[in-house]
Amino acid sequence: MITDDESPIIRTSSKRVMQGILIVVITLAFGAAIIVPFWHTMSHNAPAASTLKSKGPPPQETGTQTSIGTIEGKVVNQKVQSGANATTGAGGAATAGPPGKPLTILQGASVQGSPNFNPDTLTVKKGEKITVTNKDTLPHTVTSGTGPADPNNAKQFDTSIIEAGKTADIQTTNLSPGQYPFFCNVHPYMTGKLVVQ
Amino acid sequence: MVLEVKQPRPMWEILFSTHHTDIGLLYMITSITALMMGGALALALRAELFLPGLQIIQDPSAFNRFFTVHGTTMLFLWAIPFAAGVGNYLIPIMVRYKDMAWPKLNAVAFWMIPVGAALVWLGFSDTGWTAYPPYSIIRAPGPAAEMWIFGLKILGISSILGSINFIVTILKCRHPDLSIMRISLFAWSILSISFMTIVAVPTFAASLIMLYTDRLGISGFFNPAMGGDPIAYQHLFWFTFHPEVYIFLLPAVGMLYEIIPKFSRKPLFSYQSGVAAFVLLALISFASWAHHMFATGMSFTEKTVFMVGTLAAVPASAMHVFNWIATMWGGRIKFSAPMLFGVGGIMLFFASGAGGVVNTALPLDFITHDSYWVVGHFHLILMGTVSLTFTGFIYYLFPLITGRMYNERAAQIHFALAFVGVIFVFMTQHLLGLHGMPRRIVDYDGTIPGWLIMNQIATIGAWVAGLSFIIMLVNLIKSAGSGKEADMKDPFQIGEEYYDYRRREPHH
Repeated sequence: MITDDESPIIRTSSKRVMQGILIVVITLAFGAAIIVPFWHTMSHNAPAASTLKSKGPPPQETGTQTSIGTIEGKVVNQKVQSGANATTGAGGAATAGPPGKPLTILQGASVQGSPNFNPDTLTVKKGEKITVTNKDTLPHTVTSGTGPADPNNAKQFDTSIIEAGKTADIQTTNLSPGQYPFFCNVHPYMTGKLVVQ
Repeated sequence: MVLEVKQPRPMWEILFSTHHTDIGLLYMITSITALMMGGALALALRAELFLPGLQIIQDPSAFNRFFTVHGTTMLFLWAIPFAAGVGNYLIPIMVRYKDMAWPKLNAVAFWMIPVGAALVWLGFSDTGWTAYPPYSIIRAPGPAAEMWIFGLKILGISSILGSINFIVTILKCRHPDLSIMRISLFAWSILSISFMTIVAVPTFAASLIMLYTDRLGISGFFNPAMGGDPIAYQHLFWFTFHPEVYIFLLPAVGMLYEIIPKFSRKPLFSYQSGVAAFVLLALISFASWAHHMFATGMSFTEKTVFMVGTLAAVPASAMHVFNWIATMWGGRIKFSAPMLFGVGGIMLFFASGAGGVVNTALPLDFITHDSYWVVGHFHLILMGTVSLTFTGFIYYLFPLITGRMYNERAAQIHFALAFVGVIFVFMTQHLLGLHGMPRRIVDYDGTIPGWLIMNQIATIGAWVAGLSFIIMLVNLIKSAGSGKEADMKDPFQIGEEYYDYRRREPHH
């Protein structure tokens, strides 16, 4: 034990305190010399890993893409079995075939009060395909119904999540003529209307 | 500097030593450095909130980065390493063994901390210290978040290694004449938090790796677009970090058990109830993690279970408080700086505990959730109780480590300013939360009644507390070099042996 009466009491000296402080200060100065020049590089809002991956996917990564599609495919299948009368486009997956009637989600649509869907009321003929393009920087959906509280939402059509810059298709072959309100499941204040003739 | 084992040695010999006092000292100096750096960030955050609009921190994402690194620093680089440092310094002495059980492992555990600290500070991540997905896995900026993940990983491994060392030292290396029910209560607190660390931390370590693979896009544990569940992360996170709250708190409780009897000049009121309360808190802390997540849409049954689990911690905490009060009762109390900080810590422990009971109640939790109330509540316990007690213990150990006395008057001014400052910041933040101010915002509407003035009171309080810690730093540096030579038998003039860690029997 240190408190033995025989052990000499050695007290700190100014010189040694200063040496200790110098060690701490030099270490911190090294750190500052690294962080200060690289501050903005580190704070640069790098694109998300998922976005990076989808631009020009390398061969081994298409497997991951397929598996995403499969997961969502299962979800879609369940919806069809539970009584929905329409097929839905697989959100996030690449658009197949020629583009249909365009529906655009405008940039800045996620901000409440901004213009969101263009056109706001989309008129198509029965059987015509709709291609939804998300030009915003955030994920959105096009989901049938008046809002999340609507018990019948997503019964007619639902693109599920469309990532920023992606497109998704809505098939109207099974929709009977009439008016269908739709909204974004992520931002329920984004609303629009689909008219099938 | 500091307590020399044999002779004054060259600096590098202390730096690369495996002796427990040297490593304890390195831990303490590192953690005090981290306290100052994290505190500087906090002062910048408060300065930004002094007025509405953007003045000091122009870029909102820089504000996020500041509070992320502030939180990470204060929790993982100040609270945990300081407790580990004091433990390293005192535990082998308290259990009468020559060193820690594995001195080299001990040194490894310490040297992981500067590495983890470098990763956290050089990255300056902006995810918040909780790093909740989906933000942390989908949009958080590139290298910073990865560096944060690996920094935390290393700090977690360090604290597990330290805990293993403490457990073996206390249980296996104890002097044969010293039974487990005769060791100091501080040793009991370190023993409890070591067991809690070993049970709790691996969960977070696993979720960090899951977070990392999610960021790489090769897994989707927490990514809703890939079928994952962000709420799962919150469960894993809080399973570690609710016990971790008690891992921050219990060393402070143990330190109070050292300070209070000594400065009250009385034996401890009840040793057994202290041990029982430590064991109870260690067990109960694992039954309350989901009270952080009441607003995530859990079922009523789940919420009720965790509400009761949280309230179950109250009796055990109250056992500690009553123990301290009963020890002080009728004693000839000497209000030196360590005792002042200790008593201040106990008062704020009571206040923050009362706030915690309010938070636990389900209906009230929904009102206070995500508001400044929460910020005020956890800062009141971590700054008001834990950090003030730790600061008191810095003063308490100062003569032992340096052989010199600090300036008592400056230390008392430090206490007065810190105590008032803490009350001004964090009590006001409780009220701000009730007035609806959300947490983690860089700007606010100054026209909302009460917001502007309360933010300004909080900022002034923060600056007063910050100033007090600068006084402490100057005091410690100056006194370590040229302070009055301490009487090593009884530096505080209490009238008994300063360095006596044997348990004494109570009067009755």
